[in-house]
Amino acid sequence: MVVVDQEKCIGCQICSAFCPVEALEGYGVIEINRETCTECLACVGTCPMDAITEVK
Amino acid sequence: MKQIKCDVAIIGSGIGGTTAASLLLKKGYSVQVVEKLPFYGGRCQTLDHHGFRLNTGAAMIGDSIHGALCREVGAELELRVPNPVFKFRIRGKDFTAPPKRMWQAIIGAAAKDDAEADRVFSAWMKAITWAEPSYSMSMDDWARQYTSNPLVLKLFHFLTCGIGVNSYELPAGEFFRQITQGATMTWAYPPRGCGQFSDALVGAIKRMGGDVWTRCPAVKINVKNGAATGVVVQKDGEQIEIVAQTVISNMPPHRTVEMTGEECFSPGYLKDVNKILGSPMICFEFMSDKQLPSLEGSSCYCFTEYKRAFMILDFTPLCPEMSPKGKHLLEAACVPGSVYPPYDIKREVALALGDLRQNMPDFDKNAKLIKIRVARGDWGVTGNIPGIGNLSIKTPVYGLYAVGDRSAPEGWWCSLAALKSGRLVAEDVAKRFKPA
Repeated sequence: MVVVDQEKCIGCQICSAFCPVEALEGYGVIEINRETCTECLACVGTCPMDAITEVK
Repeated sequence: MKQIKCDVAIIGSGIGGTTAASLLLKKGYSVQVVEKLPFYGGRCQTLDHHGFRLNTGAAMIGDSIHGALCREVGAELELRVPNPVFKFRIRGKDFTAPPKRMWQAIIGAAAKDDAEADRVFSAWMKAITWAEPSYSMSMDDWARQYTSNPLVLKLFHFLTCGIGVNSYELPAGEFFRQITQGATMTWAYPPRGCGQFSDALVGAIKRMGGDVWTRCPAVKINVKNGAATGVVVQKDGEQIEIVAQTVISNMPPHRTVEMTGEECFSPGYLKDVNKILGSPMICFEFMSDKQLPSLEGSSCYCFTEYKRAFMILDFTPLCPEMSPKGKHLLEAACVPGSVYPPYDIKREVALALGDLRQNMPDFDKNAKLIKIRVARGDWGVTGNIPGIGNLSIKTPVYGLYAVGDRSAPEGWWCSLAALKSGRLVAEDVAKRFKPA
Protein backbone atom coordinates (compact mmCIF):
# COMPACT_ATOMS: atom_id res chain seq x y z
CA MET A 1 0.00 0.00 0.00
CA VAL A 2 1.21 3.51 -0.81
CA VAL A 3 1.15 6.01 2.06
CA VAL A 4 1.78 9.75 2.26
CA ASP A 5 3.66 10.96 5.36
CA GLN A 6 1.48 13.88 6.48
CA GLU A 7 4.39 15.46 8.36
CA LYS A 8 6.73 15.47 5.36
CA CYS A 9 4.25 16.33 2.56
CA ILE A 10 4.26 20.02 1.64
CA GLY A 11 1.61 19.89 -1.10
CA CYS A 12 3.90 20.62 -4.09
CA GLN A 13 1.69 18.41 -6.33
CA ILE A 14 4.62 16.83 -8.16
CA CYS A 15 3.38 13.31 -7.36
CA SER A 16 0.00 14.13 -8.90
CA ALA A 17 1.63 14.67 -12.29
CA PHE A 18 2.73 11.02 -12.24
CA CYS A 19 -0.58 9.47 -11.09
CA PRO A 20 -2.45 7.95 -14.06
CA VAL A 21 -5.82 7.85 -12.25
CA GLU A 22 -5.90 11.18 -10.33
CA ALA A 23 -5.91 9.42 -6.97
CA LEU A 24 -3.69 12.05 -5.30
CA GLU A 25 -6.06 14.71 -4.07
CA GLY A 26 -6.26 17.87 -2.03
CA TYR A 27 -3.91 20.74 -1.40
CA GLY A 28 -1.55 21.67 1.42
CA VAL A 29 -1.12 17.99 2.23
CA ILE A 30 -1.92 15.31 -0.34
CA GLU A 31 -4.35 12.51 0.42
CA ILE A 32 -4.71 9.26 -1.49
CA ASN A 33 -8.19 8.38 -2.70
CA ARG A 34 -8.21 4.68 -1.82
CA GLU A 35 -11.13 3.93 -4.12
CA THR A 36 -9.36 5.35 -7.16
CA CYS A 37 -5.78 4.30 -6.35
CA THR A 38 -4.70 1.17 -8.22
CA GLU A 39 -1.45 0.74 -6.26
CA CYS A 40 0.50 1.06 -9.50
CA LEU A 41 3.34 2.72 -7.52
CA ALA A 42 3.92 5.37 -10.21
CA CYS A 43 4.05 8.04 -7.49
CA VAL A 44 6.72 6.28 -5.41
CA GLY A 45 10.08 8.02 -5.89
CA THR A 46 8.54 11.21 -7.30
CA CYS A 47 8.38 13.15 -4.02
CA PRO A 48 11.12 15.72 -3.40
CA MET A 49 10.41 15.46 0.34
CA ASP A 50 10.46 11.63 0.39
CA ALA A 51 6.91 11.69 1.78
CA ILE A 52 5.54 8.83 -0.37
CA THR A 53 6.47 5.28 0.45
CA GLU A 54 5.20 1.81 -0.25
CA VAL A 55 4.26 -0.08 2.91
CA LYS A 56 4.06 -3.84 2.56
CA MET B 1 30.69 -2.42 -4.76
CA LYS B 2 30.75 -1.38 -8.40
CA GLN B 3 32.90 1.72 -8.97
CA ILE B 4 33.07 4.37 -11.63
CA LYS B 5 35.58 7.22 -11.73
CA CYS B 6 35.16 10.81 -12.83
CA ASP B 7 36.60 14.22 -11.99
CA VAL B 8 33.40 15.69 -10.57
CA ALA B 9 30.36 14.00 -9.00
CA ILE B 10 27.28 16.19 -8.69
CA ILE B 11 24.32 15.31 -6.46
CA GLY B 12 21.13 16.94 -7.68
CA SER B 13 20.23 18.24 -11.12
CA GLY B 14 18.75 21.61 -10.13
CA ILE B 15 19.98 24.76 -11.81
CA GLY B 16 23.06 24.92 -9.55
CA GLY B 17 24.08 21.35 -10.35
CA THR B 18 23.46 21.50 -14.08
CA THR B 19 25.12 24.92 -14.40
CA ALA B 20 28.27 23.65 -12.69
CA ALA B 21 28.14 20.40 -14.72
CA SER B 22 27.84 22.10 -18.09
CA LEU B 23 30.57 24.68 -17.38
CA LEU B 24 32.98 22.06 -16.02
CA LEU B 25 32.39 19.72 -18.98
CA LYS B 26 33.19 22.64 -21.26
CA LYS B 27 36.46 23.09 -19.39
CA GLY B 28 37.38 19.43 -20.00
CA TYR B 29 36.34 17.74 -16.73
CA SER B 30 34.51 14.43 -16.69
CA VAL B 31 31.22 14.85 -14.82
CA GLN B 32 28.52 12.52 -13.47
CA VAL B 33 25.28 14.03 -12.16
CA VAL B 34 22.85 11.97 -10.06
CA GLU B 35 19.22 12.92 -9.40
CA LYS B 36 16.87 11.10 -7.01
CA LEU B 37 13.68 12.27 -8.76
CA PRO B 38 12.41 10.88 -12.09
CA PHE B 39 12.99 14.26 -13.79
CA TYR B 40 15.82 16.74 -13.84
CA GLY B 41 15.81 20.43 -13.01
CA GLY B 42 14.36 20.30 -9.48
CA ARG B 43 12.42 23.53 -8.96
CA CYS B 44 13.03 24.43 -12.60
CA GLN B 45 11.07 21.75 -14.45
CA THR B 46 7.65 21.62 -16.07
CA LEU B 47 5.37 18.60 -15.64
CA ASP B 48 2.32 17.65 -17.65
CA HIS B 49 -1.04 17.69 -15.86
CA HIS B 50 -3.63 16.54 -18.46
CA GLY B 51 -2.18 18.71 -21.18
CA PHE B 52 -1.43 21.69 -18.95
CA ARG B 53 2.27 22.35 -18.45
CA LEU B 54 2.79 23.25 -14.78
CA ASN B 55 6.17 24.50 -13.57
CA THR B 56 7.62 22.87 -10.46
CA GLY B 57 9.03 26.26 -9.42
CA ALA B 58 10.42 29.04 -11.62
CA ALA B 59 7.78 30.57 -13.92
CA MET B 60 10.04 32.99 -15.81
CA ILE B 61 13.77 33.08 -16.45
CA GLY B 62 16.21 35.71 -17.66
CA ASP B 63 17.61 35.91 -21.16
CA SER B 64 20.72 37.73 -19.95
CA ILE B 65 21.39 35.11 -17.24
CA HIS B 66 19.88 31.75 -18.22
CA GLY B 67 19.87 32.40 -21.96
CA ALA B 68 23.51 33.55 -21.79
CA LEU B 69 24.57 30.33 -20.02
CA CYS B 70 22.83 28.23 -22.69
CA ARG B 71 24.64 30.11 -25.44
CA GLU B 72 27.94 29.69 -23.60
CA VAL B 73 27.66 25.90 -23.22
CA GLY B 74 25.95 25.20 -26.55
CA ALA B 75 22.49 24.44 -25.14
CA GLU B 76 19.63 25.23 -27.47
CA LEU B 77 16.85 27.22 -25.83
CA GLU B 78 14.08 29.33 -27.29
CA LEU B 79 12.93 32.23 -25.14
CA ARG B 80 9.92 34.46 -25.70
CA VAL B 81 10.01 37.93 -24.23
CA PRO B 82 6.68 39.40 -23.05
CA ASN B 83 5.90 42.93 -24.09
CA PRO B 84 4.74 44.64 -22.00
CA VAL B 85 5.99 42.65 -19.01
CA PHE B 86 3.66 44.07 -16.35
CA LYS B 87 0.22 45.58 -16.08
CA PHE B 88 -0.73 47.00 -12.67
CA ARG B 89 -4.16 47.51 -11.16
CA ILE B 90 -4.03 50.79 -9.27
CA ARG B 91 -7.15 52.36 -7.69
CA GLY B 92 -9.34 50.01 -9.71
CA LYS B 93 -7.82 51.05 -13.05
CA ASP B 94 -5.22 49.38 -15.26
CA PHE B 95 -1.77 50.89 -15.64
CA THR B 96 0.58 49.34 -18.19
CA ALA B 97 4.18 49.76 -17.13
CA PRO B 98 6.39 51.32 -19.81
CA PRO B 99 9.59 49.38 -20.63
CA LYS B 100 11.81 52.35 -19.76
CA ARG B 101 11.79 54.12 -16.39
CA MET B 102 9.27 51.46 -15.40
CA TRP B 103 9.44 51.81 -11.61
CA GLN B 104 9.43 55.61 -11.74
CA ALA B 105 6.21 55.41 -13.73
CA ILE B 106 4.63 52.82 -11.44
CA ILE B 107 5.54 54.71 -8.25
CA GLY B 108 4.19 57.85 -9.92
CA ALA B 109 0.89 56.12 -10.68
CA ALA B 110 0.49 54.87 -7.10
CA ALA B 111 1.54 58.12 -5.38
CA LYS B 112 -1.14 60.64 -4.44
CA ASP B 113 0.81 63.59 -5.90
CA ASP B 114 4.08 64.50 -7.64
CA ALA B 115 5.78 65.50 -4.39
CA GLU B 116 5.22 62.06 -2.91
CA ALA B 117 6.33 60.33 -6.13
CA ASP B 118 9.52 62.45 -6.25
CA ARG B 119 10.29 61.81 -2.57
CA VAL B 120 9.94 58.04 -2.91
CA PHE B 121 11.67 57.75 -6.27
CA SER B 122 14.62 59.95 -5.18
CA ALA B 123 15.13 57.70 -2.16
CA TRP B 124 14.85 54.66 -4.47
CA MET B 125 17.50 56.03 -6.84
CA LYS B 126 19.81 56.98 -3.98
CA ALA B 127 19.54 53.44 -2.59
CA ILE B 128 20.42 52.01 -6.01
CA THR B 129 23.12 54.41 -7.18
CA TRP B 130 24.75 55.56 -3.92
CA ALA B 131 24.46 53.25 -0.94
CA GLU B 132 22.01 50.48 -0.17
CA PRO B 133 20.04 50.91 3.07
CA SER B 134 20.81 48.95 6.22
CA TYR B 135 20.16 45.25 6.59
CA SER B 136 18.88 46.13 10.08
CA MET B 137 15.64 47.63 8.81
CA SER B 138 12.91 45.96 6.81
CA MET B 139 11.92 47.08 3.35
CA ASP B 140 8.59 48.23 4.77
CA ASP B 141 10.35 50.36 7.43
CA TRP B 142 12.53 51.84 4.68
CA ALA B 143 9.51 52.80 2.58
CA ARG B 144 7.64 54.29 5.57
CA GLN B 145 10.39 56.91 5.90
CA TYR B 146 9.11 58.46 2.68
CA THR B 147 5.42 57.65 2.50
CA SER B 148 2.43 56.43 4.48
CA ASN B 149 0.37 55.88 1.33
CA PRO B 150 -0.93 52.28 1.54
CA LEU B 151 -0.80 51.88 -2.24
CA VAL B 152 2.88 52.78 -2.47
CA LEU B 153 3.68 50.61 0.57
CA LYS B 154 1.80 47.76 -1.08
CA LEU B 155 3.76 48.31 -4.28
CA PHE B 156 6.95 47.58 -2.36
CA HIS B 157 5.24 44.57 -0.77
CA PHE B 158 4.40 43.37 -4.29
CA LEU B 159 8.05 43.71 -5.30
CA THR B 160 9.36 41.74 -2.35
CA CYS B 161 6.67 39.06 -2.84
CA GLY B 162 8.18 38.58 -6.30
CA ILE B 163 11.27 37.27 -4.54
CA GLY B 164 9.23 35.21 -2.07
CA VAL B 165 9.11 37.33 1.08
CA ASN B 166 6.97 40.02 2.71
CA SER B 167 8.28 43.61 2.70
CA TYR B 168 8.11 43.68 6.50
CA GLU B 169 10.29 40.57 6.70
CA LEU B 170 12.97 41.46 4.12
CA PRO B 171 16.03 43.55 5.03
CA ALA B 172 15.98 46.75 2.94
CA GLY B 173 19.65 46.28 2.05
CA GLU B 174 18.97 42.83 0.59
CA PHE B 175 16.10 44.15 -1.52
CA PHE B 176 18.21 46.85 -3.12
CA ARG B 177 21.10 44.47 -3.76
CA GLN B 178 18.70 42.20 -5.60
CA ILE B 179 17.18 45.08 -7.56
CA THR B 180 20.66 46.19 -8.62
CA GLN B 181 21.66 42.65 -9.71
CA GLY B 182 18.45 42.09 -11.63
CA ALA B 183 18.04 45.58 -13.05
CA THR B 184 19.29 44.69 -16.52
CA MET B 185 17.40 41.40 -16.71
CA THR B 186 15.14 40.67 -19.62
CA TRP B 187 12.51 38.29 -18.28
CA ALA B 188 11.36 35.62 -20.69
CA TYR B 189 9.38 32.40 -20.99
CA PRO B 190 10.54 29.17 -22.66
CA PRO B 191 7.52 28.17 -24.83
CA ARG B 192 6.81 24.88 -23.00
CA GLY B 193 7.72 26.05 -19.50
CA CYS B 194 10.90 26.70 -17.55
CA GLY B 195 11.72 22.99 -17.59
CA GLN B 196 12.96 23.55 -21.13
CA PHE B 197 15.91 25.41 -19.65
CA SER B 198 16.87 22.40 -17.52
CA ASP B 199 16.25 20.05 -20.46
CA ALA B 200 18.48 22.21 -22.68
CA LEU B 201 21.31 22.18 -20.13
CA VAL B 202 21.05 18.41 -19.67
CA GLY B 203 21.10 18.03 -23.46
CA ALA B 204 24.34 20.03 -23.58
CA ILE B 205 25.78 18.01 -20.66
CA LYS B 206 25.14 14.76 -22.54
CA ARG B 207 26.51 16.12 -25.82
CA MET B 208 29.75 17.06 -24.02
CA GLY B 209 30.15 13.51 -22.68
CA GLY B 210 28.60 13.95 -19.22
CA ASP B 211 25.56 12.11 -17.94
CA VAL B 212 22.61 12.65 -15.61
CA TRP B 213 21.14 9.58 -13.91
CA THR B 214 17.57 10.06 -12.70
CA ARG B 215 15.86 7.94 -9.99
CA CYS B 216 19.34 7.66 -8.54
CA PRO B 217 19.50 8.92 -4.93
CA ALA B 218 22.85 9.50 -3.28
CA VAL B 219 23.19 7.57 -0.02
CA LYS B 220 26.63 8.64 1.21
CA ILE B 221 29.29 11.23 0.54
CA ASN B 222 32.70 9.66 1.11
CA VAL B 223 35.37 11.63 2.98
CA LYS B 224 38.95 10.66 3.75
CA ASN B 225 41.34 12.81 5.81
CA GLY B 226 38.96 15.77 5.63
CA ALA B 227 38.62 15.67 1.85
CA ALA B 228 35.76 14.41 -0.33
CA THR B 229 36.58 11.25 -2.27
CA GLY B 230 33.26 10.46 -3.94
CA VAL B 231 29.61 9.51 -3.58
CA VAL B 232 27.75 6.25 -3.11
CA VAL B 233 24.47 6.14 -5.04
CA GLN B 234 21.58 3.73 -5.37
CA LYS B 235 20.96 2.86 -9.02
CA ASP B 236 18.66 0.15 -10.38
CA GLY B 237 18.66 -1.72 -7.07
CA GLU B 238 22.42 -1.73 -6.52
CA GLN B 239 24.89 0.61 -4.87
CA ILE B 240 27.56 2.22 -7.01
CA GLU B 241 30.51 4.27 -5.78
CA ILE B 242 31.36 7.28 -7.90
CA VAL B 243 34.99 8.04 -7.11
CA ALA B 244 35.71 11.74 -7.64
CA GLN B 245 38.14 14.35 -6.29
CA THR B 246 35.37 16.94 -6.32
CA VAL B 247 31.80 16.47 -5.06
CA ILE B 248 29.18 19.15 -5.65
CA SER B 249 25.96 18.96 -3.65
CA ASN B 250 22.81 20.57 -5.00
CA MET B 251 20.85 19.12 -2.06
CA PRO B 252 19.48 21.10 0.88
CA PRO B 253 22.48 21.64 3.21
CA HIS B 254 21.07 19.51 6.05
CA ARG B 255 20.87 16.58 3.62
CA THR B 256 24.50 17.13 2.61
CA VAL B 257 25.47 17.03 6.29
CA GLU B 258 23.40 13.90 6.98
CA MET B 259 24.93 12.13 3.99
CA THR B 260 28.49 13.08 4.88
CA GLY B 261 28.34 12.75 8.67
CA GLU B 262 28.08 15.61 11.17
CA GLU B 263 31.56 14.86 12.47
CA CYS B 264 33.03 16.17 9.19
CA PHE B 265 31.71 19.72 9.78
CA SER B 266 32.56 22.45 12.28
CA PRO B 267 29.99 23.34 14.99
CA GLY B 268 29.68 26.84 13.47
CA TYR B 269 28.86 25.46 10.04
CA LEU B 270 26.25 23.13 11.52
CA LYS B 271 24.63 26.12 13.26
CA ASP B 272 24.53 28.01 9.94
CA VAL B 273 22.99 24.98 8.22
CA ASN B 274 20.24 24.81 10.85
CA LYS B 275 19.27 28.43 10.13
CA ILE B 276 18.55 27.74 6.45
CA LEU B 277 14.80 27.86 5.78
CA GLY B 278 13.00 27.85 2.43
CA SER B 279 10.44 30.61 1.73
CA PRO B 280 6.84 29.56 1.29
CA MET B 281 4.67 30.44 -1.68
CA ILE B 282 1.28 29.15 -2.78
CA CYS B 283 0.68 28.98 -6.53
CA PHE B 284 -2.79 28.64 -7.99
CA GLU B 285 -3.09 27.11 -11.45
CA PHE B 286 -6.29 28.00 -13.32
CA MET B 287 -7.66 27.35 -16.77
CA SER B 288 -10.12 29.36 -18.82
CA ASP B 289 -11.73 28.88 -22.22
CA LYS B 290 -10.84 32.40 -23.31
CA GLN B 291 -8.57 35.20 -22.23
CA LEU B 292 -9.86 36.91 -19.10
CA PRO B 293 -10.79 40.48 -20.08
CA SER B 294 -8.83 41.67 -17.00
CA LEU B 295 -5.66 40.18 -18.43
CA GLU B 296 -5.99 41.60 -21.90
CA GLY B 297 -2.81 43.26 -23.12
CA SER B 298 -0.43 41.73 -20.60
CA SER B 299 1.04 38.41 -19.54
CA CYS B 300 1.41 39.52 -15.93
CA TYR B 301 -1.33 41.37 -14.03
CA CYS B 302 -0.10 42.86 -10.75
CA PHE B 303 -2.20 44.05 -7.81
CA THR B 304 -1.71 46.89 -5.33
CA GLU B 305 -4.76 46.10 -3.17
CA TYR B 306 -4.62 42.55 -1.83
CA LYS B 307 -4.17 40.51 1.30
CA ARG B 308 -2.19 37.61 -0.19
CA ALA B 309 -2.40 37.04 -3.98
CA PHE B 310 -0.19 39.69 -5.53
CA MET B 311 -0.25 38.80 -9.22
CA ILE B 312 -1.54 36.49 -11.90
CA LEU B 313 0.21 35.33 -15.07
CA ASP B 314 -1.45 34.26 -18.31
CA PHE B 315 1.02 32.03 -20.14
CA THR B 316 -1.18 31.42 -23.16
CA PRO B 317 -0.97 34.55 -25.35
CA LEU B 318 2.82 34.19 -25.54
CA CYS B 319 3.15 30.44 -24.97
CA PRO B 320 0.06 28.56 -26.21
CA GLU B 321 2.17 25.38 -25.95
CA MET B 322 1.62 25.47 -22.16
CA SER B 323 -2.03 24.35 -22.40
CA PRO B 324 -4.35 22.21 -24.56
CA LYS B 325 -5.50 23.93 -27.73
CA GLY B 326 -7.97 26.71 -27.09
CA LYS B 327 -7.45 26.76 -23.31
CA HIS B 328 -5.68 29.42 -21.29
CA LEU B 329 -3.30 28.56 -18.43
CA LEU B 330 -3.19 31.11 -15.60
CA GLU B 331 -1.02 31.13 -12.49
CA ALA B 332 -1.57 33.29 -9.43
CA ALA B 333 0.90 33.55 -6.56
CA CYS B 334 0.52 34.21 -2.83
CA VAL B 335 3.10 34.71 -0.08
CA PRO B 336 1.72 33.74 3.38
CA GLY B 337 1.31 36.51 5.97
CA SER B 338 4.58 35.39 7.52
CA VAL B 339 7.29 33.45 5.73
CA TYR B 340 8.11 31.71 9.02
CA PRO B 341 6.18 28.56 10.05
CA PRO B 342 3.66 27.42 11.07
CA TYR B 343 1.55 28.14 7.98
CA ASP B 344 -2.25 28.00 7.93
CA ILE B 345 -2.55 26.95 4.29
CA LYS B 346 -6.38 26.82 4.25
CA ARG B 347 -6.63 30.39 5.56
CA GLU B 348 -3.95 31.62 3.13
CA VAL B 349 -5.78 29.99 0.22
CA ALA B 350 -9.11 31.58 1.21
CA LEU B 351 -7.52 35.04 1.46
CA ALA B 352 -5.74 34.65 -1.88
CA LEU B 353 -8.90 33.54 -3.71
CA GLY B 354 -10.67 36.57 -2.20
CA ASP B 355 -7.97 38.82 -3.68
CA LEU B 356 -8.40 37.35 -7.14
CA ARG B 357 -12.17 37.88 -7.02
CA GLN B 358 -11.76 41.43 -5.76
CA ASN B 359 -9.21 42.44 -8.39
CA MET B 360 -10.78 40.63 -11.35
CA PRO B 361 -14.56 40.91 -11.53
CA ASP B 362 -14.60 38.38 -14.39
CA PHE B 363 -12.59 35.80 -12.46
CA ASP B 364 -15.19 33.42 -10.98
CA LYS B 365 -17.21 33.36 -14.15
CA ASN B 366 -14.31 32.36 -16.40
CA ALA B 367 -11.52 30.71 -14.44
CA LYS B 368 -11.51 27.12 -13.18
CA LEU B 369 -9.01 25.93 -10.58
CA ILE B 370 -6.69 23.11 -11.71
CA LYS B 371 -4.18 22.80 -8.85
CA ILE B 372 -2.98 24.54 -5.72
CA ARG B 373 0.77 24.02 -5.40
CA VAL B 374 2.57 24.82 -2.18
CA ALA B 375 6.30 25.51 -2.00
CA ARG B 376 7.92 25.57 1.43
CA GLY B 377 10.77 24.11 3.47
CA ASP B 378 13.34 22.23 1.41
CA TRP B 379 11.13 22.77 -1.62
CA GLY B 380 10.60 26.48 -0.96
CA VAL B 381 10.13 29.09 -3.65
CA THR B 382 13.59 30.17 -2.57
CA GLY B 383 15.80 27.62 -0.83
CA ASN B 384 16.53 30.14 1.92
CA ILE B 385 14.53 33.18 3.04
CA PRO B 386 16.20 36.14 1.32
CA GLY B 387 18.35 38.25 3.61
CA ILE B 388 18.77 35.79 6.49
CA GLY B 389 22.23 34.69 5.36
CA ASN B 390 23.25 32.06 2.82
CA LEU B 391 26.03 29.52 3.10
CA SER B 392 29.30 29.64 1.21
CA ILE B 393 29.83 27.52 -1.91
CA LYS B 394 32.63 25.78 0.00
CA THR B 395 31.84 23.45 2.89
CA PRO B 396 34.36 22.65 5.66
CA VAL B 397 35.12 19.39 3.79
CA TYR B 398 37.86 19.96 1.20
CA GLY B 399 36.57 19.32 -2.32
CA LEU B 400 32.91 19.28 -1.20
CA TYR B 401 31.01 22.22 -2.67
CA ALA B 402 27.41 23.36 -2.20
CA VAL B 403 25.42 24.81 -5.10
CA GLY B 404 21.87 26.08 -5.31
CA ASP B 405 20.19 29.31 -4.28
CA ARG B 406 21.16 28.69 -0.64
CA SER B 407 24.83 29.07 -1.58
CA ALA B 408 24.74 32.29 -3.58
CA PRO B 409 26.20 35.63 -2.45
CA GLU B 410 23.82 38.21 -0.95
CA GLY B 411 21.70 39.98 -3.51
CA TRP B 412 21.01 36.96 -5.72
CA TRP B 413 17.72 35.12 -5.52
CA CYS B 414 15.81 32.11 -6.81
CA SER B 415 16.94 30.71 -10.15
CA LEU B 416 19.41 33.57 -10.68
CA ALA B 417 21.07 32.67 -7.38
CA ALA B 418 21.18 28.96 -8.23
CA LEU B 419 22.85 29.70 -11.55
CA LYS B 420 25.30 32.14 -9.94
CA SER B 421 26.33 29.53 -7.37
CA GLY B 422 26.96 26.99 -10.15
CA ARG B 423 29.17 29.49 -11.97
CA LEU B 424 31.15 30.32 -8.83
CA VAL B 425 31.70 26.64 -8.06
CA ALA B 426 32.83 25.87 -11.62
CA GLU B 427 35.33 28.77 -11.43
CA ASP B 428 36.68 27.59 -8.07
CA VAL B 429 36.98 23.95 -9.16
CA ALA B 430 38.92 25.06 -12.25
CA LYS B 431 41.39 26.95 -10.02
CA ARG B 432 42.02 24.07 -7.61
CA PHE B 433 41.59 20.75 -9.36
CA LYS B 434 42.98 19.54 -12.67
CA PRO B 435 40.99 17.15 -14.85
CA ALA B 436 42.43 13.60 -14.77
